[in-house]
Amino acid sequence: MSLTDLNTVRKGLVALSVEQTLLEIGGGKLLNEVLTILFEKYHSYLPNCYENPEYLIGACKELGEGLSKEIRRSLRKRLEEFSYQGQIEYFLTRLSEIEYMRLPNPRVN
Amino acid sequence: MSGLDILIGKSLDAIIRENLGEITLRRVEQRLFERYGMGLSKTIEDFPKLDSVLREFFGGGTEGLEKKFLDGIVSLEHSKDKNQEWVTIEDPILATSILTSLGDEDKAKILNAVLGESKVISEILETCNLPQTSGYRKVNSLIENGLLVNEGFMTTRDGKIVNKYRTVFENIHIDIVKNSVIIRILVSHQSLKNSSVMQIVCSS
Repeated sequence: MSLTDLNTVRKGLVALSVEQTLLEIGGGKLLNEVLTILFEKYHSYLPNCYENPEYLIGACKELGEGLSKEIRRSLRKRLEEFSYQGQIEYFLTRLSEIEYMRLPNPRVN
Repeated sequence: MSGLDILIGKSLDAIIRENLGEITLRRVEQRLFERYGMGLSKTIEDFPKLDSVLREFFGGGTEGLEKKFLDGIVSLEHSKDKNQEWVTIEDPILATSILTSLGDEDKAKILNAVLGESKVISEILETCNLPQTSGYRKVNSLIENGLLVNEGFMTTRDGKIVNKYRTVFENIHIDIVKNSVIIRILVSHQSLKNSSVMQIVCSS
């Protein structure tokens, strides 16, 4: 018997970590602002940031250059104990890389 | 203390502190010390004691207050199976704590090894092929967080009694819907009955 798919667990863990980080930094107001940008600009929800970290950085950059840096640092701290897992480390590394890159155009569905 | 009470305990502690307000919280804690020599966190582990003190302060409104606290942590879904119930985890901190355990590969292996059957720790570590030191540490962390519960014991060849452990839940579902991560655990009626905290949720 198997409990649950590890990828769903990781995706859920990253989504809840991002949510708590945003709440900690800017309360419900910041969380709602990020959710709105994710939906309006990227047609995405918070858990989709696990596969597409560029959406999270893009949304945060719209709200202030310093914010994306703060969120990236805080997320690394929260998820550090899982960074031995390839996919989580990939997510964290991508966050850092994207922050210093030109952001891609929003995906249009 | 039941596994479910341990699982819910930390979140309940935080929600009570957040909702009672500084002055009332201080008075409640003072009364708990006078009557039982325990603080809030300790009496959550022995919920009827906390309930009796809350009743001194809030009288008939206590049940409603306790339900309000618990609504933010868990909700019960009545299932067709009369022996089991699905419990939805509403508190994001508790949800994160569960996902943190499931996200740790060794802890996930341990939970899988005792899903539906109780085992002694040495047996769990052997099944999961985990080293003793880190394996014991991970098992103990799962016990402390209420995800593993004691169920029965066995007697070793040299006459020692060793506890057996199993998961607090019978199954777990994680659904990601839009912006929400929904965690539901399937628990037996017996586990619900043994949990003094869950009895409040069941009575609604």
